[in-house]
Amino acid sequence: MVFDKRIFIFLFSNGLLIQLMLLVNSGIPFVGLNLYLLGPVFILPPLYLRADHFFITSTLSGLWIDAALPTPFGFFTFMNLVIGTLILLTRLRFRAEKNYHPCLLAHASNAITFSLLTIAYSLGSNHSFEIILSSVIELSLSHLTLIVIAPWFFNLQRALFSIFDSKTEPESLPFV
Amino acid sequence: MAQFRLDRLTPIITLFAFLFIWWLTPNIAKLFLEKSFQEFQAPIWLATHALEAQSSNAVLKTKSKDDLIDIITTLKRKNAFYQQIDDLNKTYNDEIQRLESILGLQNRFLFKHEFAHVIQRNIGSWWQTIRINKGRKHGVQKGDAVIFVGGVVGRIASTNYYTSEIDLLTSDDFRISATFLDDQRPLIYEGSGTNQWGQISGTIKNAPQDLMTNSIEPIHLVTTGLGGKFPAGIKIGEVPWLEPDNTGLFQAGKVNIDQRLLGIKEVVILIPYNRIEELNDGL
Repeated sequence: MVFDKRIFIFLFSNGLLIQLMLLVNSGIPFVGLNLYLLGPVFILPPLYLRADHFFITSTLSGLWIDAALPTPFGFFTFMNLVIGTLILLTRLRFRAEKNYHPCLLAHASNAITFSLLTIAYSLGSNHSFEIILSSVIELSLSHLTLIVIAPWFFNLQRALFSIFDSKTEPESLPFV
Repeated sequence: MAQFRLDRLTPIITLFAFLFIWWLTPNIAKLFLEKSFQEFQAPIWLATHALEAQSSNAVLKTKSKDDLIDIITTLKRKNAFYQQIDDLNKTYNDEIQRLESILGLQNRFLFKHEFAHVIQRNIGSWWQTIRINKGRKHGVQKGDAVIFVGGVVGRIASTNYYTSEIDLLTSDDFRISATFLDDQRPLIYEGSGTNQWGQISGTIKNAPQDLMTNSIEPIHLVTTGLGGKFPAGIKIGEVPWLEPDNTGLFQAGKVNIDQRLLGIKEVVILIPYNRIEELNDGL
């Protein structure tokens, strides 16, 4: 098969997480805070897929997020590829089949992208202090939620591999 | 000595190649890509909204008949009351039209009111936007004014065929010419996002020195009608205090926005009639 079946599984599960996050944020507007849970989207494609398949998955996932959120178009595509490439190059060090390393990576990538967005939005604003203050609260709440969401999300992706009868081990280690 | 393997650099070379291609890609192609993805996502939001409506209908069906009879009785009373007001308004409108025709005045109804449902809210520290279920198909264009029962909602930031995104008046990018009720002098209103408690607010600049306000009876801030997008007299918020600004010539202050804006479900888009006429003429 030219295309790995797991590309579609990753695209579907990433899309599902993004839509669920947006739905939850849309349902809790009265608190005036957004939960940011996009960290797990960046993690498993570079750990499981071949380099060319990872690029396809990450580009499409990034474009999907960029279209769904009011960020500058291309921001998440760029972040997805950069974080993914770094994980891809060092993936020998991570145990993809367990949740411990992917969860740590998900928290790290969530914090990095969140911080970049906060810096970008506070630099161009007249109310930087308010933005940073409310962002710290949003970040804390998001990471608390991510403690529950990230393992569930990774387990879901692995479960989908089994259900759709695709390869359940990372691709062609140690070579990318 | 072990030979350095160039194939290990493939992901980095691919990343830089992608970034170079992205940098070279013309903006129009990126815009096309963005719009394509948004159009693809639009049915998901519309379907979600339809599901929400179905679930709220299902909740209503669990109510007892006695409850429904009580609700119908209350609605009947309100209906009778509003019908009387409607009749009175028709009489007033006829009289206004008669006088306008005698004096040869221009028509005051400049906007068509297009009702829309809110299908997605993105209200956080970075952005304050909402998505509605009306788009280019319904004549909505970028920059159109959006209002609700509590006053100004914001401006249309971007449109798709079936959906549109609105920049809320609390958004950092939102600026509008405003004035105080019963005062003709214009000043500048700006959105200032949410604070750490999730409350929305705005700020005003260039308020005249002689104006005074207090938190018990705050003065109302309304639109001026300058710029042509918003008609005059639509409520923006209330100003509980004013203080001299850094120039010392004017006053500045915080604007309390109607907190119902956070949970807003329905809005009205103001579409200029002259644009509709232009469209009809073009067809």
